[in-house]
Amino acid sequence: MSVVLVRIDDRLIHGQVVENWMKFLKIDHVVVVNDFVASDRMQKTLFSMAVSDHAKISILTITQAKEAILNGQFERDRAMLLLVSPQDVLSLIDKGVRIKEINVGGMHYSPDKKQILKAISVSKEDMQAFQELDKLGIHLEARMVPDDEKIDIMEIIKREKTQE
Amino acid sequence: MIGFIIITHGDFGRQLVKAAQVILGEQKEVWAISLHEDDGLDTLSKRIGKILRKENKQSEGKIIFVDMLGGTPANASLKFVNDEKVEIIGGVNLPMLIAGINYRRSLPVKELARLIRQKGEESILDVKQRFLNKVSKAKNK
Repeated sequence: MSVVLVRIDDRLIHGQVVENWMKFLKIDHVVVVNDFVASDRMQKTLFSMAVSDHAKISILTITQAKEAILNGQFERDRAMLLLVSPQDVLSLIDKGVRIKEINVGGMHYSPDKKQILKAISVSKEDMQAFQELDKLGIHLEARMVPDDEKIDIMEIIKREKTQE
Repeated sequence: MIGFIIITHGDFGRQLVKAAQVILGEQKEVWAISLHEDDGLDTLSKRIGKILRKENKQSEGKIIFVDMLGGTPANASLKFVNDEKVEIIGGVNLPMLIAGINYRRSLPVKELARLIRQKGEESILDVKQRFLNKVSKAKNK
């Protein structure tokens, strides 16, 4: 195996990830891909505390993650990549990483965003990034926890677009 | 699958189940019973008995979670102390309920109860000190 799940979730590591996704997919390596967190010692410590000692944790910048993936560093693991936004996924892809499928788990509301699902709110830039990912043939499913219904996020975004 | 009954003073148990479902998704065979001011020991025991009778036919057992030893939820549960398939655990908290749900399909009821107690004991810790230890370790690297 290598990367088992790529997830967009702006809370990165939290209860749903640790207690549900990791167990469901038997993840043994959590990889946070975020330029800000990777350069902040407090945040790094906080997230590394959230994962049990049985799993590895790496907190990498987008460039570091690209290198690790292309060098096959996760090949022996069942790894889960966590990113905060579709823009970050796009820049990982721009650097040469191939991704087939993305799970969108949580993008929280702020005043400049529009809520399209219970746990997913998107800005104009987010929508655009999702459309670009869609054009690349990447499947985008919205699902908070494994047992939830899989929702095709592009259908919802397309519906939002036609309403505009 | 082992069923759970969470019995607490007030709606704590009901909300605890909701909190676990935020993390793990919707769950079957988890019942919450709230004890309110006008409920007596007998009414509470009857409510527990009703769930146990209704669901106990092919069930692999039940775990009753109560909030604290000595309270009415615990006292009412003790009526079922001779039932081999029923375990009773005190001091219920979120990590205990989550661990229970995660393992209730794979362990027999007595082992599951032991695991839940262990997870509960491990869940009470000095978060501040843990964090500071990690920070100072990271600095020394």
